[in-house]
Amino acid sequence: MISSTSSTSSEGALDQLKASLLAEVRFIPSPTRRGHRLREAVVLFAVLAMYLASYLVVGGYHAASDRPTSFMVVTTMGFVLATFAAIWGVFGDRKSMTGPPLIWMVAVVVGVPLMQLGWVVLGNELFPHSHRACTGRVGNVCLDFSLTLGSMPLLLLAAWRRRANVVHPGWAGATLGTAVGAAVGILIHLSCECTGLTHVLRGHILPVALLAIFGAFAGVRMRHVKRQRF
Amino acid sequence: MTSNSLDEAMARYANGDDEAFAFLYDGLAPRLLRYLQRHTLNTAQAKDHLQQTLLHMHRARGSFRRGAAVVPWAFAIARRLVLDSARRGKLEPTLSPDSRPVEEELHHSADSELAAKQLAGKMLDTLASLPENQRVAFELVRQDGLSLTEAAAALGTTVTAVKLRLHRASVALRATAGSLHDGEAA
Repeated sequence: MISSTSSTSSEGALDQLKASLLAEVRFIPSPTRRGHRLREAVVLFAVLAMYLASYLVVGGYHAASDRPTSFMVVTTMGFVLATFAAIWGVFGDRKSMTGPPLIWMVAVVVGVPLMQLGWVVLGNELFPHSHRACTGRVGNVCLDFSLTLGSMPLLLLAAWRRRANVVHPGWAGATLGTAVGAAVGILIHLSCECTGLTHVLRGHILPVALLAIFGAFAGVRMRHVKRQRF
Repeated sequence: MTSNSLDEAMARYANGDDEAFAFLYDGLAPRLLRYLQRHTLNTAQAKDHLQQTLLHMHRARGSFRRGAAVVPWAFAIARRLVLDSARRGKLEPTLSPDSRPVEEELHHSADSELAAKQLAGKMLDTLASLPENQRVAFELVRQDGLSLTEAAAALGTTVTAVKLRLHRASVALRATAGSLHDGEAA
């Protein structure tokens, strides 16, 4: 008896809530899939435009004589692969509304910078004549460029998916930061001829890690689902 | 109401069919309310979180991906809202332990009632003492009826991890039930 009484009252409460919700949603704007796609296209176009503009800002491709095409193709391919791995980590399963599992995101955040570093080391081994230690350049210029070029697209992408990460928003933001950092890393690699380990670690790998940390903060602050006033 | 029909209703709603919201509500609200009541122990807060969950789904309907599952998404939003409230210290239990939804379902009969209450109490205590990830996985699958895939998506983990957590939780609960049975036999 107790259970039937309580279930009847909870059904009544649910009916009341349904009526008020149905009335409420009519007044709360929400884009349909079509509207969302349009916004998505605008944001992606803006990010792509920023990316191409960044390419010009960093001076485009630096064609040094000791950087043969084969070296550039092999090393750039490595950076592109790392970027694709990171982008895959951001989107994961296209059929999931809750994003990829945590373990995939952790693998991307940790693995992508290591993959980039490994690729540079491999490039130095395969093309020893292209190795430039750049002992005078510690990497601050590349670090500054990467952070400056990466922060705007990262903020834009984080704001676009505002309140969209229902599970692990911090890690999702870190994965996004890693993807942006890896993409900016391609431009930096094309324009910077230094392959010395200290320079690469400080100027090319550290910004990816810093953008991941920045992305994690942005994720927690902006992409996390919380109580809203409608 | 199957998960597939709810997914289709959400897809229709994402495409702009406003009528589908009522169907979604009917399919999701009772399950979500049970989940929220169990976690907030406060009917008013549970209803408030339910409203927030559904309004969030309404706001984000355009982002609903083709072929995605709506049940784990809804549970993940509800869970996030509960965690957010708990973090801000806004969870105030107002339900007495006797009105816990799990116990509502027990049959009431003379001697067995006491034994069942005793068993349920022990089981609930064991469940509460489990590590959070095991407890949540157990509740989502065994109490809220989510499939392993749905629970994995709601928790942001893999199906294998959910299976493992579920197995560990079941072992602990079985041990409690076993010890109670042994105690009675002695």
